[in-house]
Amino acid sequence: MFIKDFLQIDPKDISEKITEFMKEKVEAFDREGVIMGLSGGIDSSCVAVLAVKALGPDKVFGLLMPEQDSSKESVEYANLLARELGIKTQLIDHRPILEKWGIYDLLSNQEWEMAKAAFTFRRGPEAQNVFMRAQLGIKPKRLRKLFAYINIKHRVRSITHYYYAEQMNYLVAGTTNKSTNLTGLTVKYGGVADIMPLKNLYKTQIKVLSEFIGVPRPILERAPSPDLFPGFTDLSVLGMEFDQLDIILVGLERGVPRKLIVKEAGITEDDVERISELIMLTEHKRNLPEVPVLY
Amino acid sequence: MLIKDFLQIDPIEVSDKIVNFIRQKVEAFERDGIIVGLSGGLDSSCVAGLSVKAVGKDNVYGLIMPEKDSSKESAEYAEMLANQIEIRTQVIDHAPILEKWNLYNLLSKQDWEMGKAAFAHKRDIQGESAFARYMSVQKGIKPKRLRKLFAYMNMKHRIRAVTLYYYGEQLNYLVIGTSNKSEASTGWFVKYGDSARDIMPIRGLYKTQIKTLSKYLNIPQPILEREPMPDFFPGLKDTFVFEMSYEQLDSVLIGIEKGVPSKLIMEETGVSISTIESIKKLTEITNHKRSLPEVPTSF
Repeated sequence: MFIKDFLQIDPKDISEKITEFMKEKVEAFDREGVIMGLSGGIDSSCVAVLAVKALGPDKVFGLLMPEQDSSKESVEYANLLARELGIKTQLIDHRPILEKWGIYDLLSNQEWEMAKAAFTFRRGPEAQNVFMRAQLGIKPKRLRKLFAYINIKHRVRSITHYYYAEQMNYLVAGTTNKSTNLTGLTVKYGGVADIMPLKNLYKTQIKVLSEFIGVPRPILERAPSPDLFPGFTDLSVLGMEFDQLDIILVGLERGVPRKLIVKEAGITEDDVERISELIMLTEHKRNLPEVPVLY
Repeated sequence: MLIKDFLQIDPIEVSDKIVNFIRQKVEAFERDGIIVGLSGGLDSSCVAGLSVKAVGKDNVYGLIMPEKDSSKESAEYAEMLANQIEIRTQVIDHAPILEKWNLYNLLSKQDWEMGKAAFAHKRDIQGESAFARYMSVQKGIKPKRLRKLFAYMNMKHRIRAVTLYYYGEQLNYLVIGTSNKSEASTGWFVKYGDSARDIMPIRGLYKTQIKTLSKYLNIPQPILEREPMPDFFPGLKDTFVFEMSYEQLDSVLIGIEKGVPSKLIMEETGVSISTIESIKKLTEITNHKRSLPEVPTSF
C-alpha cells in the first residue's frame, strides 16, 4: 500500500456525481445556466466540460479575461476548448480596467526585474520563501506591492463573472482545487463563486478526471500557472511537482507518519514541514471573515 | 419582559470586547493597521471609531469611494467623521473604473425610471410591494430588467472590495468589514461585495444595538440621525425595502432567533404575521450569501 493509492479515483463515478451536483444547484438557485472564467488551464477546462455534460452547451458561458501580462496561450487554449465544446464565450480585455487603478505603474522597473528573477532564474528556495512570507502580513514594501499587483487581477475577474452572471441569471462556477486551496495558492476573494465543483479533488485527481472526460491534450499537458506574473508558476512557489505535493497533502490528511511521506514523495522533511505550515498560515483564506464573540 | 429587552447591550463592555478583538486580529494577521471604507453611514463610522480605539488613529486608513450615483452627503459625512477621529483618508472616484465595464449604459432610460419608481414608492408599477420584490430576487431573477438593475447595483459594492484590498495589501493593513446582523440575516448585502473582508467586528450586532454603541463612541450626531441606505441607486433606502423601521425589524429578527411565537412578535412590533413569516423565510433563502461556496459532498 502506497500513500498515492489514497489519491485513486474512479473518474466515471466522480464525473457523474459532479454533473449531478451541478444540475441540482442550478435548479436550487433558480438559475438558467452556468458561467465560468476560462484560463486555458486544466481546472477551468475540467469544470467547463462537466458543466456541458450537466446542462448542455447552450447553458454554459465562458469568459476570457486576458490582461497585459497574460500569456497568449491562455486565450488560445481557452478558445480551443470552447470550440470543441460548442459553448458561447466572450472576451473582455481587462487591461484597460486594471489601468484605471494604475496597476501597471505600481512596480518600478527594478521591482519588476527583482520579482521576475525571484520567480524564474532562482526558482526554488527564494520563490518559496517569498510566497510563504506573504501569507500573513508582508513587511518588505516591494513584496507588498508585488502581491497587490498580482492579486487584483484575480479579484477583478470575479467582478466580471458576477456582472455577467447576474445579467444572464447564471450560476458562477469556481475552479478551485484541493491542492491549491489547502496551500493557499489562491487569491483571497479572487476566485469567488456560488459553487466549487472541484474543491474536494486534488490536482492529480483532476488530471485523471480531465483525461477521462476528454479535456484536449495540449491543455492536459500545460504546466499549471496562475498566469498573473511572468515566471510565477505553481511549481516555482511550491518547489515541487503536484504529484509530490498531493502525496504530502493526502498523507497529512490521513495521518501518515512524516517519514513515510518523505520517502514516497521523494522530498525532504523540511518540505513536509513547510507545506504543513502553509496549510495553517493560509486558513483565513478558506474561511468566512472572523467575527468577535460578544456574549 | 419585552422582546426588545433582548436587544439591550452594555456599550462599554461591547466596545471593550470589539476593541480587543480588533487588536488581536491585527497582531494575528501580522498587519500594521486597519483599512476601512467610509460611507458616511452609521456602520462604517462605528467601525472606524472602534478601530481607532484599538490601534490608534495613526494606524487607521479610510477610503472614500464615491461613484456617479452616490449622494454628496456620503463623502461629506465620511470626511466629517475622519476629521473628528483624526484619521488619514483618500478619495478614489469609482465612476471612471465602473465606466470601463460600460456600467452607466447598462440601464435604458426606461429601466432606470422603473427602478427609481419602484424604490421611491412603496408599490412598484406592477403593484408588487418592495419587500415582496426583494424576496423574489434572492435566488434567480426572472425579469430581465430586474437582472440588469441588480447587476448594476451589486457591481458597485464588489468594486469597493477590490479597491480596499488593493490599498490594504500595499499598506500591509487588515481589511475591516462593516456588516451588521440585521443586514446579514436578511441578506441585505452584496455577495462578495461588502461581505468580502478579513474581519467583521460588528457582524454580531443588530442595527439598533450599533446605534447605542455609536452614541457611546461619540459618532457625530448627523451620522447617527442619517437614514440608513446602501447608496447605490437614487431613492433606495433600507426602510423602503423592509417596509418597517429598524426597531421593528430587529425585534422581529431577535424574536425569531429566540424562538418567540410569531403572535407575540406581532403584538409587540405591529408587524403582521405574514410579514414575520416572510422574514423567517428570507433568513433561510439568503443562507447561500452567508456561507462558503457549495461543494459536492457525495465523494
